Amino acid sequence: MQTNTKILAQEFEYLAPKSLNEALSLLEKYKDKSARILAGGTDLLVKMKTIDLKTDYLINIKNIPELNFIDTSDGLKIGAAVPLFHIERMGKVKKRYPALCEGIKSIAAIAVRNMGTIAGNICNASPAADTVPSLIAYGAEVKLVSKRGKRTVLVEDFITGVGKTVIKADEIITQVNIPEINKNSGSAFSKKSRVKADIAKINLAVCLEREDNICKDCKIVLGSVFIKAVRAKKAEDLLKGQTVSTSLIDKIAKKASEEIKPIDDIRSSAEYRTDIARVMMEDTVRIAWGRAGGELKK
Amino acid sequence: MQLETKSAVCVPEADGGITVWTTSQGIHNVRILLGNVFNIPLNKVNVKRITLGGSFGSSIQMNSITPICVALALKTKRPVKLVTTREEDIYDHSKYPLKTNLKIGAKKNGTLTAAHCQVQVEIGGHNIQAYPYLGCIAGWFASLYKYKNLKYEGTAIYTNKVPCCAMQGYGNPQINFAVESLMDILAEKLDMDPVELRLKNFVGKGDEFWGQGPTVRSIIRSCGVEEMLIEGAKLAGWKRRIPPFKKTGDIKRGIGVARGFHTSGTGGPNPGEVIDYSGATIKINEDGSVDVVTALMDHGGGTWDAAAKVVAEVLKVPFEKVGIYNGIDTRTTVFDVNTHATRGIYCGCGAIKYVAEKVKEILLSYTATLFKDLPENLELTCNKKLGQAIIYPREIPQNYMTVGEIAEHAHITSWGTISYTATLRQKNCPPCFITHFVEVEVNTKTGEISIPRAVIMGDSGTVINPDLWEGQIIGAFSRGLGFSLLEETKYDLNNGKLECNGMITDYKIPTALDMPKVDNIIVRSAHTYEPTGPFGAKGIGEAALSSVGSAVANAIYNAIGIRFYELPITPEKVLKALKEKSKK
Repeated sequence: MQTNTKILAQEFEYLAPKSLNEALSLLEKYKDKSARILAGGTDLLVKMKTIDLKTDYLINIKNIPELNFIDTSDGLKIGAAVPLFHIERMGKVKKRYPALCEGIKSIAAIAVRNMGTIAGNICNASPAADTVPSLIAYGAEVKLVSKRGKRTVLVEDFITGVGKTVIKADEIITQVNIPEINKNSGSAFSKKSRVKADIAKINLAVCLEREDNICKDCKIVLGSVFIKAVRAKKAEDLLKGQTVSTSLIDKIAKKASEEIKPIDDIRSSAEYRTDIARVMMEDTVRIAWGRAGGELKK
Repeated sequence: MQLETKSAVCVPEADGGITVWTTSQGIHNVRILLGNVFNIPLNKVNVKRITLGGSFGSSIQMNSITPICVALALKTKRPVKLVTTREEDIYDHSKYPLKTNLKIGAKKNGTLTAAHCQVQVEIGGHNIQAYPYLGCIAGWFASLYKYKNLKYEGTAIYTNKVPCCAMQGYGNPQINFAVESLMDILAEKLDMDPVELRLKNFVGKGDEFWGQGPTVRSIIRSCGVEEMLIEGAKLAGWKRRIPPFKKTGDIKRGIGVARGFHTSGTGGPNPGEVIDYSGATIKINEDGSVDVVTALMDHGGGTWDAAAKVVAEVLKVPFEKVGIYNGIDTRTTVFDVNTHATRGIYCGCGAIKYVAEKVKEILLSYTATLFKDLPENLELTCNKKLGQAIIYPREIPQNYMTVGEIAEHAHITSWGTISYTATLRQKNCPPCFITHFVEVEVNTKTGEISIPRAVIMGDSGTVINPDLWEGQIIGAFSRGLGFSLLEETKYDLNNGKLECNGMITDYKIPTALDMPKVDNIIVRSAHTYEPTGPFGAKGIGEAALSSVGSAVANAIYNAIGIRFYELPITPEKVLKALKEKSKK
C-alpha cells in the first residue's frame, strides 16, 4: 500500500492570487513547470494523496472575484469558482435546467458539494462526472482565458479522455456558459450507484425540444460507459423529427444501449451497464418528454 | 470495515516502564502482552483506558501498531504517537470469509433428524484466532436447531491476503446465512410455513447452549424465541405473504424471516478455554456519591451507562451520583477481559453488581453500628427529594440517615472508606436471541434491492438501556445490510492488492439514505428474565447482526423466486440471475 490519505506527502508552493490577471500571470510564469489550479480540491487533493500526481505550484482560485459570479440573464453563466451547492439551489437551475440540478444533487454529500465546483468537475475529466452529461446535453461551453487570449470550447469537445482535456498549461477556465433553452424543452438526468453518495456506475442526461407531438431536436449523453461521456447519436437520430410514443422510446433505449461499450470495473460490470442503460434511457426520455409538456402515445 | 482507525501513544518512563494510550477493547490484555514482548515487569506497564469510536471486534487482539509504537518510544526514549489511516486499517484486518457446505435431514412432519456441516474459512496472513473461530462456528451452528445427530468439519486456510479477525459476530452471520437459508429451502420442500418449521426445532429453554464452541456450554434458562417468532409474524403481516410466482409488476416485494442469537459472554459452569472474568473497585465517597473503578470497556454500546445503572440500583443512589468514566488505567484496576462475545452487560455488569452488593453489605454493617441495630433490620432506599440514598430502621422511616451522612461519619471517625474490590466469573453463557422479519423490494428491471420495512424482535432479558438497545439493533441492521448487499473484500488476482485499495471510495457501506425510514423499522423486546444475569439482563450486540443477511436473502427469494447462495447480493447478480431464469 503506497497511499496515505492523512498526509499530503509532497512539497509544493501554495499561491493564492486575488485577481484573474494575477492568476494568469502565475500560470504564464509556471507553464513549463508543473502548476495546478486548485478550485474546490475535492478531486485534486485526493489525487495528490492517493495517486502519483506531483505538483510544484498549487494555485488557489477560490478567492478571485471574477470567477465567483452567476449570471442568469441569458442562459446561465457560472463562474469557475462557484461551489456546486450554490448552483443546485438556484431557482433557474431547478426550473429550466433540471438535469443539471439532478446531476449535481447526485454528487457525493453536501460537504463535498460545498467545496467542489462545476469547472473542477469538468477539468477533472472523470468519465463518471455527474455534471458533464447534462452540460453536453444542454450544449454548454467553457470559456478559456490565458495571457495569449480567449477562446470557447464546447464541453463535449473539451474533454478528450480519462483525465484528459484540451486545456493548455497557461489557460484557465473562467466560466461555464449554458445556452438559454427553449420553453418547449425538457431535460432529465439519471444515475445508478452502489449507495446514495457514490461515483456513478452509469449516468445519463437527455435534453429534447418539442414541437406538438414531435421531438424537434435532442441530445442523449451517457457517462461512465466509455473513456469520456458520449452522445448516443444513433439513438438521437431515431428520435429527431419523430412523433414520440412508448414504442419509439423503447426503440431508442435499445439503440442507445447497443451504441455504448462499457467495461467491467470495481463499481459494476459491462453487462450490467449495458442492460441498465436501456432501462434508464426509457425512464429518462419519458421524464424529459413529460417536462417538455409532451404527451405519450402508445 | 470498522469505524475508528487504530491509534497509540507511548511514553517511556524514567523507571524503565511505559505508559500507553491505545485503541483497545481490553487494556489488561495489552498490558500483559506488552510486558511479555518487551520484557518489562507488568507493574511498570501502564495502559490507559480511552473511549472507543467503534471497533466491532477488531481491537480484541492487541492492534499491530501498538507494539510498533512502544518499540519506537523505547528506542528513541521519547513519546511516540501513531495513528493509522483508513487504508492501513482496511489492510490491517478483515472479516473472516466463510464457505459452507451444509446438509440438513428432516422427517416429513418437519422434525429435524441430522445435520452435516463443513466449513472452510480464509484466515489471511496471520493466525489471530483461527482455532477458536472454527470452534465458535460449530457452536453457532449447533445451537440454532435440534438436529439430533450432527457432524461438523472445519478447515482454516492460510492465504497471503489481509489477516482476518473477529468482527461483527465472529462468524455467526456467516454460518447463520447458510443455516437459515437452508431452513427456508427445507420449509418449501416440506410445504411448511418457515415460521412453523423454526418453532418446531429451535434450541430453547432447558436445552444446552454452546456459548463459545464446544468447550463453553451452559443450560438455557431464558428464551424468547417462540414469542418473537409469533409476535413478530403478527407485526410483520407474515400471513399476507404470497409465493413468488403469484407476484406481478416490475417491482416485486417479498418478506423473509430469519432468527439468530449470540452468546452473552464466555462463562460456563466449568471454566472453558476462554478467559472470562471482570472486576471492579467500588467506593462510596464522603458525600454519598459513588465511584466505580473498572477496566471494563465500552465500545459505544452503553456498557458504562448500564454498569452505572446497575450500581445505582444496588446501592439505591441516584444514577447521576455514580461515576465510572475518567482516569482509568491498568495500574489502578483489577483484570478485566476484553469487551467481546457480547459480554459487556452480562459478564461485566454481572461482576460489577457482585461488587456493589459487597459494598452494600459494608454500608449496612457500618450503619447498623450507628443505629445500634442489626444490618438485616435496616432499609436502604432512594429518596428522590433529597437526591440521596437513605437508610432507616425498618418501620421507622422518619429516623433516616443519608448515605452521605453515613459515609462522612465513617470518614471523620476513621472507620475507613466504604469500598470493595473483587473479580467475578459468570457461570453461564446465556444466548441473547434475535428474529428478523425483513421486507425487500426488488426492481426486476434494474436488479436493485431496497428495504422498505423491517420488524426486529430482540431477547436480551431485562433491557437496561432501552434506547441504546434499540439503537444497537438498528445499527446492527445497517451493518447487516452492508454484509448482505454491498461489502466484500475483493482482490486483484494479478497483483494481490485489494480492489478498493483500502479506500472507502470503493468500499461502500450503507448510509442513512439506504436504510428504511425510521418509522418503518419496528423493534420490540421479548418478555423474558435471565435468572443468572444482572437484574435479568443478557447481551444484544452481536446477536443483533446474526440473522440480517439470512432474512434479506430469504425475502429476496420470496420476492423473485431466486435463491442466492453468496453474499453480498448486488444488483449485478440479481439482474444476471433474473435473465438466466427467464431464459429457462
